[in-house]
Amino acid sequence: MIDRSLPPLLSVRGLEKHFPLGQGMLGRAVRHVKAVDGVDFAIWRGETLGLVGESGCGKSTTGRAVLRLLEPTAGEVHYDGMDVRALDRESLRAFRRRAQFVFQDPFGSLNPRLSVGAMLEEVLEVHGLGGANRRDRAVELLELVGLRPEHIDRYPHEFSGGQRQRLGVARALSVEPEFLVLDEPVSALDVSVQAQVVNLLEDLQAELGLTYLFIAHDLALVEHVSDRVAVMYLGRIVEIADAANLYREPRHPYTRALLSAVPRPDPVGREQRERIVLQGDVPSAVDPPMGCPFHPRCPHPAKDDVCGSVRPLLEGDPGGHLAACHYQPSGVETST
Amino acid sequence: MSAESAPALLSVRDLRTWFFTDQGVAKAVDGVSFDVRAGETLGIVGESGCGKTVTSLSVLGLLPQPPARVMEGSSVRLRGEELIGSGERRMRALRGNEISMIFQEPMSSLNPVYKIGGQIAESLRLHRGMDRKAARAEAVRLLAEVGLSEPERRVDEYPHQLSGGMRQRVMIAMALSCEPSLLIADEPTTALDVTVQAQILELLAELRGKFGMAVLLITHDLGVVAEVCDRVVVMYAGQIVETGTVYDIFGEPAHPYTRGLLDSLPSVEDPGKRLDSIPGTVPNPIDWPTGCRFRARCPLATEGCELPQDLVELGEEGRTARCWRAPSLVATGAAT
Amino acid sequence: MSSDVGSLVVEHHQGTSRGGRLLSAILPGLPQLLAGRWGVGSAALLTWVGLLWIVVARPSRVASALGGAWDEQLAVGTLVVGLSTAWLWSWRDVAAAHEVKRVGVSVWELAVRAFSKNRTAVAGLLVIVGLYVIALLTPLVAPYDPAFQGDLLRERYVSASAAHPLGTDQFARDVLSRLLYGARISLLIGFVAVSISVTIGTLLGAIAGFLGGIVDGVIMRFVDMVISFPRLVLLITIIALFEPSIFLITAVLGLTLWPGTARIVRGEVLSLREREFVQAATALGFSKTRIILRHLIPNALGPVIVAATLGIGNTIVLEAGLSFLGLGVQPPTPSWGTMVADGRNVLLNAWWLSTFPGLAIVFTVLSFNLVGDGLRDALDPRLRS
Repeated sequence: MIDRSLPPLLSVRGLEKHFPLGQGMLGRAVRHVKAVDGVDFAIWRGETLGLVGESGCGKSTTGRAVLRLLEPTAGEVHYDGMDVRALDRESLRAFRRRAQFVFQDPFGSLNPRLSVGAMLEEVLEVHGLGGANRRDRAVELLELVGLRPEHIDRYPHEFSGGQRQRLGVARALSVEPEFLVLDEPVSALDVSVQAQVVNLLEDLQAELGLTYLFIAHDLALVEHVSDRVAVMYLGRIVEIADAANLYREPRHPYTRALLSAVPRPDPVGREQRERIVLQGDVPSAVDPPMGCPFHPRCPHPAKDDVCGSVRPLLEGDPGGHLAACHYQPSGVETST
Repeated sequence: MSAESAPALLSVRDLRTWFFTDQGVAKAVDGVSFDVRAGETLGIVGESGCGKTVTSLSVLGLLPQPPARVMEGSSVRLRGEELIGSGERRMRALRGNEISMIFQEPMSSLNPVYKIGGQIAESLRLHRGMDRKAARAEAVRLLAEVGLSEPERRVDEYPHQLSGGMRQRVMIAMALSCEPSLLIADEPTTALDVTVQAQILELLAELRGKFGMAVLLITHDLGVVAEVCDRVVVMYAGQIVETGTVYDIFGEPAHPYTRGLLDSLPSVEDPGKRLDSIPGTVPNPIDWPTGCRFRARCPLATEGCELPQDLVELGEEGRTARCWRAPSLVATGAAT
Repeated sequence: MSSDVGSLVVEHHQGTSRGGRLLSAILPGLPQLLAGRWGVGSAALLTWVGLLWIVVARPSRVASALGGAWDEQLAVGTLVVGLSTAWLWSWRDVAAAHEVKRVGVSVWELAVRAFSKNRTAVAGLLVIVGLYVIALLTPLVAPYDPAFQGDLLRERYVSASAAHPLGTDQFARDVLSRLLYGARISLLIGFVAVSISVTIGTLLGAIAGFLGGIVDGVIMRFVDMVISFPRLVLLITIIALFEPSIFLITAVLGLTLWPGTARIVRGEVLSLREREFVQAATALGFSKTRIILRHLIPNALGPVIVAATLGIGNTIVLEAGLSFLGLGVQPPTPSWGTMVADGRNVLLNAWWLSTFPGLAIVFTVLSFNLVGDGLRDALDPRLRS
C-alpha cells in the first residue's frame, strides 16, 4: 500500500510555467500568461493524486510540465531522487519509459494514419522492447486494456470514444511505466463509458502498482479515484488534502464554492441545499490579482486588505490538510 | 412550480426524424412523444447519439432537409397548432418569438463580426418592430436582466471580448428578447465550468419564475437534471425509455438503462465504491438492434426482451418505462 | 434504403464471380462494367483492348522497338506492364468480390472510396492516366517520327486524311505524331517539376512548422524571398544566359514552385503539432526526425497532394506559355506550346495546326483540375470522423 514515510516518487516545488504573449520590440515577450505560478506537491508510490480546477487554472499545464512535455519556466521536479529538469536527451528518453501521459481527446490523441498494431509496435521498436515478436506483445497490451486481439489491424476511426481511450492507455503502458499523468482521461466520454474506463484505470493501478496524477474537472469523479486531492486556482494550488478530508471539511473558500456548485444527481432536498454562487469570472492569468489570487471573488466574511496584498502560503497540518488562505478555520480534525 | 394538470404547451407525438445517408438510414429519432406543460422544466437526458438534440432541432424545424427527413405521421403541436409542414415562413415567425433556443457553444451561435448589442437589437427590430434607438435601449435592459455587469459598455463589445459564461448570458438575453413561452436549452452549461454553470442555472431558474416560460432542457448531465427539472424524459437509441417526475426517475428508476446511468456515477455516500458500468457502447443508428434496443447491454435481459418494447404505464400519469419487466422491477425496489 | 442497394450489389458480385472469372480472363474489365462499376471497368477494358491493339496492329514495330532506343524499350515495357496489370487486377478483383465488408480500413482507403464516388474526378483521372500511358507508348503508336518531313511541295498544310489523321504542318510533318511526342514533353516537365517542388516544399515546410523559432523564421523569410522574385523574369534571364533545354526549364520551374507547398505544409504542421498524438509521440520519447517523417508529414499530405495535382496543370500551362513565346522547348523538339505558336499565323488556312495542341492543353489541364478538386473533397479532414 501507500507508505508515506518513504520519500515521495514525485516531488514538485515552486513549479512555474509562463507562456510568452506577443513580442516586444527586441523580440522579447513583454507579457506572460502565468499558467502555472508556483506549485508544490508530492506524490507517493502507489497513490493517486487528483488535480482539480476549472478551465485555465493550469492543471493540465502542470501535468505536462512535470513530464517535460512543456519545459518549466522555474521550479524543481524530482522523480525518484532524479532532477527531471536537468536530464539530457538520453536520460530524458529513459525517464519517459518510467513516466507516461494519457491524453484527454480520444479523437486527437491517436495518429489517424497508423493501425493499432503499427502504433504499438512502433513504440516497442523505438525502446527496444517486446523482444523478437512485438506483435504478440501488442496483442497482450490490447488484452490488458480490455480490447480484443483482432482489433490489432484496425485504424483509430474504427473505434468508439471509449475504445480509443483504452488504446491511449495501452500505448502509454507499452513502455511499462510506473507513473501515469492522466489528463482528463474520461471527460470526453459518455457517462456509462466513463465508468468503464475509470474501472479499467483502477484495475490497472492495482495490478501493475501504478502511481497516478489524475487531472480532471469533475469533482465527484476525482473524489472517487483519488487518495489525495489538490485544488488549483489561477496557476496555484489553493488546497491539498486527503480526498475524504477535503470533500468533508474544505478549508479554502474557493474549494467550498466549487464543491457547493457541483450539481448532485439527487433531487431530494434540492431547494434547501446551500449553494455558494461565485460572482464574476476567473481573472486573467496575464495579470493575476495581488495577494491571494481568489480575493476579488472571495465570499469569505473575514476578507480584508491582507488578502489583497499578501500571498497566502499553503499551510495547515504538516503533511496533511493544507490550504492557502489567511483565514482558514483552525483546529479542525487532522488527517488520519 | 410544476403545473400538474395544465394543458400541454408543446405536444410532440410519434416524432420520427431519419437521416438518409450514403451508409443507410439513420433513425436518429424513432417515435418520440412527450408534452411540455406551460411553465414547467422538462429535461431530456441521454448519452451522445440517443437523439435528444435531433428531437429539439426537429421541434424548431432547424434540421437541413435532406439529409434529414421528418417522417409521415410525426406531429409537433404548439398550443394545438401543428408545426410539422407549417412552412418556413410560419416557423420563422415562431422561432425567437414563441420558442427560443440556446445552444451548447455560445461562441459559434454569436456572429463574431457584430457587436453583441447589434445582434440583440436585430432580433428586437425583426420580431417586435422596434426602432434602432428603442432596440438598443431594450438590449441594454436585457443584458442587465441576465446579470451582465456594466451592460451599457458590454452592448458595444464583440463576442470574443466576453468569457464563456458571459456569452451564454448574451445568448439567453437574445432568447428572452421576445418573452418566449418555451425556451429550448440544448446543453446550455456543458461547455462551462462548474461555478459558471451554477450561475447560469440559477439565472435560468430566476428568469423562469419571472416570465413563467417553460424550459425544455436537453442534457447528458444527470446532476443538472436533478437540480433543475420538474419532469424527465430519458432517451436511448432514438426512443424514450423512461418518463416520470424528477423524484421518480432518481428515486425509483424503472428502466435498467436509467438505473445503469445512475449507477455509473460515483456514489455520494461512498465515493470510493467501485462504479457499476454499462458494458458495450451505444448501437449504430443505421442499424438499431431489434426488440429492446438496450437488450445487448442490459444486465437483466431475458426471454421476452427480443420483442419490440412499448412504453408501459407505471401507475401515476406520465410515469412510463419501455421495459416489459419495469412494473415488477419497480415493485421489488431497486435491486441491481 | 441505400443499405439495401449495397446488399444487392454484393449479391450481384457473388452472382458474377464464377462466370466473371471466365469473362475476366478474356476481357478484363467487362465483369466490373456489367456490375455497374463503370470507372474501373472501362479503365481496365480500355487498357486491355488498346494495348492489345498495338501488339496486333504493329507487331513488327514492337519487335524492332525491343532492340531500339531507351524510349522505345520503355514503351515496350509499358505495354507489357499495362497488359498484365489490367488482366491480373481484373482477375483478382473478380475473385475477391465476396469479401466486401472488412475492417482495418485506413484513412487513405476511405479517401479512395470517397474519390471513386466522384464521377467527374474519376473521368479526369482516367484521362490523365491514359495520357501518361500514351505518352510512354508514343514510339509504338505515333504514325511518324516527329521530325520526319514529307514531300514539302505536296504535303505541306494538308488537312486531315487517312495518312495524316490530324493533318500536317508547314514542314509537312504529321501533326498527330508531333502532338503525341509533345505530350511526352509537357507531361514530363509537369510531373518532374512538381515532384521536385513537392519534395523540397514538404520537407522545408514540415521542418519550419515543427521546429518553429529561428529555423521557422529563416525558412519562411527565404520562402517570402523566392515567392516575391518574379518567376518569369528569372526564367527569361536564365534562358538568356544559358541554352534553353528541357532540363533547364524543368529545374527552374521545380525550384521556383516549392514555396507554395512549403507554406501549405507548414500551416498543416502547425495545427498538427498541437494535436495530442504528436505530443504523445514526444512523451513516448520519439526523436524529432521520426515525429516529422512518420507522424507529421503523412497527416499533412492531403492538401499537398491536392496542390501538387493542381500544380501539374499550372506547370503545363506555364511551359506551354514559355514555349509559345519561344523561351521554352526549342525546335525541332515538339511541344504543345511551340505547336500552337507555329500555327498561329496560318490559323485561317490551316486551323488544325494550333487547334489540336490547344485542345490537348485545355483537356489535360482541365483533367488535372478535376482530379485536384475531387482529391480536395476526398481528403477533406472534415469528412473524416
